[in-house]
Amino acid sequence: MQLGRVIGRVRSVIKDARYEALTLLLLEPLDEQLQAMGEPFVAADPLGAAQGQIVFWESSLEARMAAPDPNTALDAAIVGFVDHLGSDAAGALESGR
Amino acid sequence: MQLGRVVDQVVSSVHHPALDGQRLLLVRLVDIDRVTPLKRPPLVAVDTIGANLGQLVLTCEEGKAARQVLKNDTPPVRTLILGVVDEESRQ
Repeated sequence: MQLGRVIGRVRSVIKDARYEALTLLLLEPLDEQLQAMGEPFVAADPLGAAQGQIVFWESSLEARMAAPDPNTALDAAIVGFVDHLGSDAAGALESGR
Repeated sequence: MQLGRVVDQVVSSVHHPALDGQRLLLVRLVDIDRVTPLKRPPLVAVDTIGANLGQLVLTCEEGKAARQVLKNDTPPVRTLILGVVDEESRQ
């Protein structure tokens, strides 16, 4: 997975039927200072990210597992939102999507 | 697999349920000198072994490995920390 920031939304009327249940967002990859690093790309968003949100995303086959239908043709998907970087008391992620 | 340096922890309250209970660390991949960062974005990796900030770690980006380690047949994740490298080790 890598860090990314939501920089836009992709609207598409004519698309694969399995994309009907998905939101497509434009992300820019980020470095550890949360500065843009690399080219923007389109990712599926099963979680409902807002504009400007910092997320982590996965590429390749595993991106499909984040979609409601894992047979959706995808190569990038948002897997979670970043609250912040840095340690907290718990360490492990808590349940609660 | 690649070597990287743990530079931060990623705190997330909204995420795919496959990541519940997992610890996510931000790992900057490094060159063979173990210091020079590679020119690619850092990884957000599932920490399977309890790595600490600043440690040199072994990362793996492979889906089947993630399925085995997370004990889940369909995790949307393939990025893992699988070991802490002994800093005193030499070739």
